[in-house]
Amino acid sequence: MQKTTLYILFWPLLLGIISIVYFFGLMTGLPVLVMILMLSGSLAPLRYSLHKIATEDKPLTLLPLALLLLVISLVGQKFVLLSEKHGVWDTWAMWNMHAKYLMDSQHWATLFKNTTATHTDYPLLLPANIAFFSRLSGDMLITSYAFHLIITICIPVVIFLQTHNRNILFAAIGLFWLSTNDYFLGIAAYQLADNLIGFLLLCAMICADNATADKRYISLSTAMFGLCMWTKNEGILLSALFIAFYYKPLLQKQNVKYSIIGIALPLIALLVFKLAYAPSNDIVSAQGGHTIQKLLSAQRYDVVYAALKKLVLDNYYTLTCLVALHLLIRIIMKRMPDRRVLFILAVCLSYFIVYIITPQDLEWHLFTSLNRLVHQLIPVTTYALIMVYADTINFRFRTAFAANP
Amino acid sequence: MKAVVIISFIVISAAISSYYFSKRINAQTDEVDIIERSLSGTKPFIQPNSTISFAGQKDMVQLFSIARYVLAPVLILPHTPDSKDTLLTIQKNDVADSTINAIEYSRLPIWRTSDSLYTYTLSVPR
Repeated sequence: MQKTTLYILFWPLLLGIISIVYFFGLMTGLPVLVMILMLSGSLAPLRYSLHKIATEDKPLTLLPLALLLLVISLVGQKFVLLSEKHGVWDTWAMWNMHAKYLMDSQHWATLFKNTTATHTDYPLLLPANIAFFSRLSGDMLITSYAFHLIITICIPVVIFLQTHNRNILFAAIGLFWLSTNDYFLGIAAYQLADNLIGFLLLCAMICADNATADKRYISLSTAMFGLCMWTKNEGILLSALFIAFYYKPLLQKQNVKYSIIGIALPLIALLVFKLAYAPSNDIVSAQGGHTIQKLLSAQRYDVVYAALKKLVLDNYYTLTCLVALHLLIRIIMKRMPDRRVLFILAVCLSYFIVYIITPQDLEWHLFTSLNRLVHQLIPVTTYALIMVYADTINFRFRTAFAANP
Repeated sequence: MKAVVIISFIVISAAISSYYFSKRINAQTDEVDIIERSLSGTKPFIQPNSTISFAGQKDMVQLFSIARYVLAPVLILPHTPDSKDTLLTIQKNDVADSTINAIEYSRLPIWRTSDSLYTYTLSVPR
């Protein structure tokens, strides 16, 4: 892993720690000043332990660095134009509303008495961070905007840093595709948790891919998907699938302790939250006799398939074709498709099933959430495809672009 | 060195972008802002730990959600006939609703205001 990537990974880890400290601080009635002192105290050991992890130190040449800086400023400019003042409905009616409750140290638990259309069963990584930083800055709208902007910038930057040594051309294409795609950036600018989930999942995958270089990447990887669980309920599904596809590095006897170290803190926070505060999840609690009927209804499969097909072909046509081409190549070569691509397809299949059994009106549920669920998978899909095709087509520019001419 | 350059650039870009976003939104007023400004007058009547009920015209889920957002951490629940809480009603200026009027009539208004979009009333049981 590149040293810069490791430093960037410090950011989501810090967000996770802030949200967990803030949550336990609210529970125990700690003043914000004490929370800040606790967080400052945890920074030094965190930075020290990250510093000790093995990294590659292949320097970026001037041109890739210039590309990267260009893209960072481009995303910053586009985000201003694509963002709405209060975000979209779910931003103010859900995430930032949760954050407003969490900003009040005395009455924050009132949040969970809200029962209609608020999803108070969602975990607290995002609202706790918005609440914490809003209390420091005094402006929730700008805090929320800056928070989501930094996450959005980090996505193409991390992908480029991790892939440019494999294939500079594909890495640059991925970088520009992500940073100029108004559909992708538009959903990121909604200021919802899905972009954050996408980033955390990307970090988890990158860390798992580097597990052979240093076992501490296993801890980082499990911490990242642990934070996915601490962000949204579907993070639990994503984590279960991630463990299933990465069971070898994560669950080998000699690696289990690293996996447990990474996931322990977010898992404890999630369990405390779910057992002590969160109401039951609407999709889970509504399951019963109707579930089998829904699973046997061919019409529901048609509706979900049509919506998914329209969404990916209208907005992610290139990615879909590249995934299909990879599968075709592997079938012809009689080899298993790449593990990362299989993981992404398994997540799509799982989301497909969730829509089949949803207790909500199916068309409304698809209309309001499918684009955001697919958005969660775009960073990992872009990363996986660059890695896959960098291996398939071993092609390198040996010109000014090359990192190691 | 490169790590410092990249991370510093991310922070600087985010700061500049946030500044321009702040400039842009300060010049804008949307429905949430209008309602927030109007409901700011309820502060002397509603404590952060209080529970109030809400009644609006049909299909006013959005208004209920906005009221809940701007008044958080006050707990706002949909109005039920047996509710004894302070009631917040919001009505469109150009469309009167007889059901809401009937609820309001049976209660004692303690605060009322209106803006370009809605009329807001806080009332308690008589």
